[in-house]
Amino acid sequence: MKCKNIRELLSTYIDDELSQADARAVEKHLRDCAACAEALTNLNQVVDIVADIPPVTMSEASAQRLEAAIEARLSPANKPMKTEEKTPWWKWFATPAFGAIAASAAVLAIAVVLTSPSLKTNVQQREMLSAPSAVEEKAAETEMGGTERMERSASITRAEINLLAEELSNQNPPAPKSDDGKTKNSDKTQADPEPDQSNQIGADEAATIAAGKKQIKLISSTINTFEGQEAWIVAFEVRDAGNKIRRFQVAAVSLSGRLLYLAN
Amino acid sequence: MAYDVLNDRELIDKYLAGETAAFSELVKRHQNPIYSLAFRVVGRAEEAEDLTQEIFIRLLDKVSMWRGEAKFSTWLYRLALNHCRDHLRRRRPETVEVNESLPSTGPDPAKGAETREVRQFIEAAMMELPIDFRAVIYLRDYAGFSYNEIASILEIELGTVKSRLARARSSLAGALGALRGASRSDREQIDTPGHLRG
Ligand SMILES: [Zn+2]
Repeated sequence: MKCKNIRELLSTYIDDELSQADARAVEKHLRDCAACAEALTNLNQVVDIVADIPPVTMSEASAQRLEAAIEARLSPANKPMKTEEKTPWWKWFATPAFGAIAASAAVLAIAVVLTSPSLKTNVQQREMLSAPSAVEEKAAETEMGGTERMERSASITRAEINLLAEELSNQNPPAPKSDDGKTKNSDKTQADPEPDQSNQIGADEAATIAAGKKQIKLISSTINTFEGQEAWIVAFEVRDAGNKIRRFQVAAVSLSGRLLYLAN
Repeated sequence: MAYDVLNDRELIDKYLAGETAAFSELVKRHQNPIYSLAFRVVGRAEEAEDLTQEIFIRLLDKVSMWRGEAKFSTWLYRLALNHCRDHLRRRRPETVEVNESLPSTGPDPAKGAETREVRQFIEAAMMELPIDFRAVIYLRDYAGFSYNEIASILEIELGTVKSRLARARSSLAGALGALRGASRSDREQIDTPGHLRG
């Protein structure tokens, strides 16, 4: 065999994956050809160097984020919502992995959103909030077959996030004030004792939420492309100290857990 | 329940039967190899961490599809590599500054500085290879998979495994030769191999 043919076999020869005949031919050639013998030495060096690359391991913080994300997903609270909630979901926001926690959210609210006539067409056309189960099924069909995986994330804009928040709040108006003995001004549309602070959450308050200090409940999440990156679009309830729902909010959170946008 | 004594099949069966803690053990067992794979494929620690998380979250839904015809780790690597590949496809094109993104591996008392330099050069040269070549050399020489397993992970023919591996290795050998030649002649600038690109 010529040197060129031998060179092509050397890599496989190193791994002992040549046929016996080829292996013998290589060995015979190597005895007489210093150039090919040197090529083999060089290849072996590369193999040794690559094998010697020190292993990389996840940082402790990263491993914790991973664990939190998985635990949250595995949590019984992630099962379809019952009438009473046993798990204080808002507590999950006490972990640093806001995005990871977002990943854990149940998807029930999507059904709520989809019942809204004004959003329905929009949602279905753009697959803005494609129900994860259906999407995952489709991805599952194709992925292992080696064909193109279905793109999971449709894009979503700030305006659409605002619209979602509005729709959610319209469909799920805050529960009427309970009869706590005091008579409120019934002529005012907003009988909220502290309307300005509680009705809207800004960036500062989002940080408070992330720190677990505000009672909120995550009700929906999905992955979309938001302003050029993949992001969780999360919907959640904001509750007051008496555990009454104040309003619904929708936010875009990066996969690494950074708050990108909060509906206004 | 001591989950750590169970094999992957047993863990998965338990998870599918509703024992969620079995899945957590599965994650712990495979998180570093998958992170390592993601890191070697994308070249950036932070991205690799995000990818690892995404991969295991996807695994939650997909693990029931593992039928056991391939080893679980082989199957998981395939899932992970597909995910990494999708990620790279979506990533905005930009220059990858390999040297900056490689994490410091700390002092290596057993080896001299020169060896470490050579190794870092090879790591950088690997990042310059197209992903299919990078993956095959990683899977074989770093992760130690067999040719058959690599064929299964990458969903390519055995012959393709051999030829890609041969080309990837000889490309790196060429780069190594150039490095040594350069240090002998005291040149400053080293180019990583470019002839496999595109
Ligand atoms: Zn020869």
